[in-house]
Amino acid sequence: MTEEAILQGCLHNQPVAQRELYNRFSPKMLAVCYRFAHNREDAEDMLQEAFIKVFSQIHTFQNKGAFEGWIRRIIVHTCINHLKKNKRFNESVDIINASAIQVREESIPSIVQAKQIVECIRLLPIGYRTVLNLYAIEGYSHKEIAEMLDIEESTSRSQYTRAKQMLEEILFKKKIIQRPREKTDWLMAAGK
Amino acid sequence: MQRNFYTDDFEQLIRQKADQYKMYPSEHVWKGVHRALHGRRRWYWTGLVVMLLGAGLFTAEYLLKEQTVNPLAESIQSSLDAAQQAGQEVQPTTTPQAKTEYLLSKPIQEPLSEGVVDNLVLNSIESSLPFVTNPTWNDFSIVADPASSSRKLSGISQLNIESNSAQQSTATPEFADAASESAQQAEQSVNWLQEYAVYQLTATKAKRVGWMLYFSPTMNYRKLTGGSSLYSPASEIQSVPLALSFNGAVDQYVHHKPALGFELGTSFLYRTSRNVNFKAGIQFNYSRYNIEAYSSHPEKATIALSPYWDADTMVSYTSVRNLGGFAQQEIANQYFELSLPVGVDVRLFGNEKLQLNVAGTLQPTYLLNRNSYLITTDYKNYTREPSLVRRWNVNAGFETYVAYNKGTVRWQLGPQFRYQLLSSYVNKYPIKEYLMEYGFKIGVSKTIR
Repeated sequence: MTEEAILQGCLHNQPVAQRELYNRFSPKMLAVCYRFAHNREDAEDMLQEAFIKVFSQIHTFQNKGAFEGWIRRIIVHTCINHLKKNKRFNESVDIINASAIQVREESIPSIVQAKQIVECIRLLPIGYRTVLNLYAIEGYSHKEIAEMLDIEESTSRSQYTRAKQMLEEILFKKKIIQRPREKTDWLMAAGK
Repeated sequence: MQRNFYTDDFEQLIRQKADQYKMYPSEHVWKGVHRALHGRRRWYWTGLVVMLLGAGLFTAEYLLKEQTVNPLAESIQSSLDAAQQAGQEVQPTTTPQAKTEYLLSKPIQEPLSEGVVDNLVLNSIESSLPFVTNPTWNDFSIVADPASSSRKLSGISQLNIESNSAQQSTATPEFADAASESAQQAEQSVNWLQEYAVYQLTATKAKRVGWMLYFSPTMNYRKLTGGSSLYSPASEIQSVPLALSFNGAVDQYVHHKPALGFELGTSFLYRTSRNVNFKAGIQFNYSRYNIEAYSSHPEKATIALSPYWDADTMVSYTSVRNLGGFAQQEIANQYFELSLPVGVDVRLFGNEKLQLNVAGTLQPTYLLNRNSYLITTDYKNYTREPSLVRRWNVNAGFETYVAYNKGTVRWQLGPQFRYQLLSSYVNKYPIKEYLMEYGFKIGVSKTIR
C-alpha cells in the first residue's frame, strides 16, 4: 500500500488504511514517546493519544512536507502535553543545578548501541531529558522549546547545556563513546 | 521553525542513534485508537438498533396478538386444553343458540386444580358447590354465554351448569329421589351463583399503571453566554486574569450549526385521575452540534478561569482554531446522556379515543462522555478539557401531543422541547453552554395493571 493510498484511506476513515499507517509508523513513534516518558506504559498511553489525534486531524495535513514529520510533530506535542499534566515534570523542568544526580550503571543494558543511547538519555532528570530530546533530536529551537514548556529561553539553553554535559559523562562512563582528542572528533567506542 | 542543522557531532550522533531505535507497541494501544475512532458511530447505531428492536418486540407482543376473542371462552378453552394435556378427554360442542358448550365425558378422579379451570370461575364454584370435588362433576356441562357475560358477572360469563346425570337417572325409579335431590342441589348452586356470587365477587379495579416506549429524532442546538455583550459591558468573562482579544458576546465569534440527534426512552405511567398521569422512567439522549473551525499547527490554548476559583488559567495544546487557520474543518460536540425523567402528563381535552395532552418532566442527567470541545476564553481556539465538563446536570422537558387510544394501547405523536438547566461546563469556566433539543416524539404505551 503506497503512502498516498494510505493517506486517502485515512481521509475516508477506513480502518484498514488506518491500521496500515499505524503499523508503519508506530514502532518509531513509540521510541520517540519512550524517550520522553517515565516508563513504557506511559509511552504507550502517549502513543495512543497521539495516533487518535493523527487520524482525527489527518485532513489538515497538506502535502507540503514529509508525512512522517507531520506525525512526529503531533507525537512530540502530545508527549509534552502529557508531561505537563505531571506535577513532577513541572517541578523538575526548573531545576538548574542537577550535578548531584547519580548515574545508575546497572540499569543500562548493553545490547544495541541505539538502545544504549536511548536508555542513557532516559537516565537524565526529566527536565533535562525533555529539553535535550526537543533540541538535539527533534530539532526545535530554544525559543520554541521555551514556548512549549512555558519556561524562559535562557532556561532552555542552560538546561540543554547541562543535559548535554551529563549525557556525555554517562556515555563516557558506560564506554559507549570515547573522549575525543579534539572537541569536534567524537568516536564511537564500538566504531562508527 | 525547526533547525535543520546540528551544532556539533555529538548532537548528530545522538539524533542518528535515537532515530534508529524502534519499539513495538502492545496490541491494546491499537485497540484503544480504533475504539476512539469508530466507537462513536457504534453508539449511534446501537441506539437506533435498540430502539427498533424495542419497538418491534413491543408491537409483536401487544399489538399483533390483540384479537377480538371473548375472554371467558378463551379462558375456558385454555383450561380445557390444560385438562386435555392432563389426560382427560374433552369434547367441545356447539348449541344452536351459538353458545359454546363443553362436555367432560370421562370421570375426573381427582379434584380439579385451579390451574385446570379458570381461577376466578373455579374459586367461585369451589366455595359453594360440593360437586366440584365430587367425581360426578364431570357429568355436568359448562355452558358459556358470551352475550350475557358482561351484564351478569362483571366480565365473567354466566355459567349454566346443567345436570345431565339427573336426566339420565330418571329411567330408574330407585334413583329418582337421588336424582331429584341432586338436581335440586345443582339448581340451588346455580341460583347462588346468579344471585349471591355476583354481589360477592369484587369488581375489577380500574387499571392505572401503564408502560411506555418512545423515540424522538431531535435537532440539537445550544445557547452560549458569558461573553461581554456589546450592550451590557459588565460580564464575568471580563474579570478573568487574561485580557480578551475580542470584545463582545461569545456567540458573535463562533460558527455553530444544529445537528441531528435522537432520544430514546421508556417510562412507567401512573394514572391518578381521568386526566392526569404521573410518569417516571429512563432515557438515553444523543445530542450534538457542529462547529465550523480551522486547523492549525499545534498551539497553546489558554482558558482563563473565573477569579472566584483558585486556579486562574489552564493551558493546553490544540490544533483547532476558531478563526483563521490554514484549512477549514468541521468538528462536532457530541453528548451521550442517560437521564431519569420524572414528570406529569395532563389531558387537555378529547374523548376516550382521541386526546390532546401536554406533559412536562424534570430529568436528572448523567453525561457519559466528557470529550466535547470548549472555546478558549480568548475565543481563538477550541480545545478539550474534560475536567471542565460537568458530569451531572438537570434537563427540563416539555411536550404536547395527540394521543390515539386503541384498546389498552395508546399511540402518541407530537413536538417536544428539552432544555438543559445547568451549563455543560463547571462553574469556574466562565462561558456557559446550555443545550437545547427540538424533537418530534413518537410513543406507544400499554396499560398493564
